[in-house]
Amino acid sequence: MRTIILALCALITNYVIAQTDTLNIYINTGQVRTIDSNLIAAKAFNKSSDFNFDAQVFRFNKGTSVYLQIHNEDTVNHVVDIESFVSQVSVKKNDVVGITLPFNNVGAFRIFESSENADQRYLGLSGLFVVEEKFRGHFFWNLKEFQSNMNQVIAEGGSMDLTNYRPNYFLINGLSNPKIDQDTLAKVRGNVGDTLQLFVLNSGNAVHSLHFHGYHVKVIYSSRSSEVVGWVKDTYALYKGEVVQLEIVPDKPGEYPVHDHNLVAITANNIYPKGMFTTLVIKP
Amino acid sequence: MRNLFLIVSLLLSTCLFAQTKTFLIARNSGEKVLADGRKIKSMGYATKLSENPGIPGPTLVYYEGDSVTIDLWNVSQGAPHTIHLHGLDVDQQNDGVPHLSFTVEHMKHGFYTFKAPHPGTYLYHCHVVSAIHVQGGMYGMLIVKPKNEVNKTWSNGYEYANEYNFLFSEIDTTWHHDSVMDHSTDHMHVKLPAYNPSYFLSNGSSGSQLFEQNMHLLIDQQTYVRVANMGYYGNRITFPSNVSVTIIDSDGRPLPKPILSDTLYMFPGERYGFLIEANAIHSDSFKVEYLDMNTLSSKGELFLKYSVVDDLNIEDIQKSELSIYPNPSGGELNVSLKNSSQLLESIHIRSLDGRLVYLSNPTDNKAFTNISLSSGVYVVSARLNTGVIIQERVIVL
Repeated sequence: MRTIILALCALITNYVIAQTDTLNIYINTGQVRTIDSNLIAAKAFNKSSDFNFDAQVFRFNKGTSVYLQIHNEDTVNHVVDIESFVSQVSVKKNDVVGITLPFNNVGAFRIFESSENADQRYLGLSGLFVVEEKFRGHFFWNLKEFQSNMNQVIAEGGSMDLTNYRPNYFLINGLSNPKIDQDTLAKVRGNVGDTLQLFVLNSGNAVHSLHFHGYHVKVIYSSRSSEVVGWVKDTYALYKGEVVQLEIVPDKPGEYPVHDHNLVAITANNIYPKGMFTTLVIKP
Repeated sequence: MRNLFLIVSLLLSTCLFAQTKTFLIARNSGEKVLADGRKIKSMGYATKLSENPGIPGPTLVYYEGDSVTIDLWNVSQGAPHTIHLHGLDVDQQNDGVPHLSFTVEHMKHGFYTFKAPHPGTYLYHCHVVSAIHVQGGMYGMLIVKPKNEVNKTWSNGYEYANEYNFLFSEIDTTWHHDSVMDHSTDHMHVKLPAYNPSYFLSNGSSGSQLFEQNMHLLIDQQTYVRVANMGYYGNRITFPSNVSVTIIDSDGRPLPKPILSDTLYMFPGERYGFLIEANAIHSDSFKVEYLDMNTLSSKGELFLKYSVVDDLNIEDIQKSELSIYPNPSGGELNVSLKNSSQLLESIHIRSLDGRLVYLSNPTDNKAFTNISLSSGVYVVSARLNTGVIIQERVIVL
């Protein structure tokens, strides 16, 4: 009995007192397989040394402290920012850098490649740190578009030119409609009356104007401007690098689309309807 | 006496039940005349078979709380069509998305029902292969007005003296060919051309056509302007320094705090409402730029001119100047000017209790035809391009 009490006390202590966990983040290089089976050179922050071009979302409990180790598995040096926490963390190729981050407040913060070499950021090194009090009813979209021939140029040692940027793949969490439906972080499911929180990061260079069918959403947070907090919108345009938290309280059941209203972005390699299109599924 | 009793009864029943029906015809065989005279194929919504479906479609005006039914008749001889009620938060059945709601096949009718939500600015458009059908012209503005309030943005909202609405979009003429518009029936696999628009539109007009959209602002009074973006580019609207602009609403909802601004950015699918006020008589223009979504570089622009005046110079007309027929009417009105040296800029029709029941911007032929009204007595106000407003009373039996 005494052992059980001690064990419980230890658990409670661990929960209440900020514990320092270790999180390994790997800078990986690889290829994204598109909906039409093309392969595009890309880079990503992952939790293992296996390349995976997914949401790049890292979730933390409020009140915890994390010892973060960034492993650079790439063949070039990188510089990493985590908004509101650290900036210009230099991680040389094949090196590991450790930092401790206290997560005292809830919020969503962008982790991204911040070197002057924008090519690296373009290839996909952009994700979210999300500090939460509870883990229910939260969904995450990392928006990203690619002009596939530009990825090829960069992969072969060239440099990108955004003057006439014309992306041909439009992705949410690395996926295109209808595959987005298979991503549990992205696919919004809930019930009438729930308070759902959607965290969205625009990791691309284009502006993405997301239109919600069925419901208006309330802007809880925007990294671009505090002016928009409290706005109630059915269409919200995310600028390059912007992070937003949107709240949805469904008042009726049904399946309702959400998509980029730049309708050219509902495509993959010019084929419609792919790209940035998914649905909210709300049960009674 | 009996007729008067009938009219009063009809007015009362309209007020109490507020059942509103709208009839739209989906067509694939439209022709759009661009500012340089070039003609292109278009799709669109019309209100009668003999009408060329315009770009954009008719502006639909309802009142908060109205029970609305839109009867969509597809006479396209081609693809199915729908109406997505953009921003109205209707239920799934009425949402107009093909695989989640229903489509309306050739020679079939589809009925969309909803209750008009919060007063504000909304859109409607086809959601079948939406990239092609919207570019083709199947879209329009939908306005919800506050019930029992005249010249107010919403109940307990802002008062204004005058109102304008502008719907921005673009045209890429390469999309207006049979090879694109007669798309594959495999709706999950339609190839789109590259998007390189060369015509930048406000209410379907560009270039020399825009003079019809000149605004008249009353000095020291607020003018309410609704703007909406139905293109695939963003808009940057720059206001001159000699007017005060306050952005007050977006997407059919008031902003928590009004924003004084000299620039407004608006992206595809968004709508904004703002109040303009000027305290000196002058003329100037708003600059509207069309921004590539990938680079935010400006690819086109137009200017919306305005004049600040001290009086809208409201005049009663001599019947010989304005042609409104038939009057009394059985339900449909045609309004045009007999004097061809002047142009009709807009038509407002109000019921005797001041409710705005019809509002329309200019059309290509300078006439407004087949305006459908329920029984009652109305005041038709026709604004000319000279700023003069002429009025006439009409009876609809």
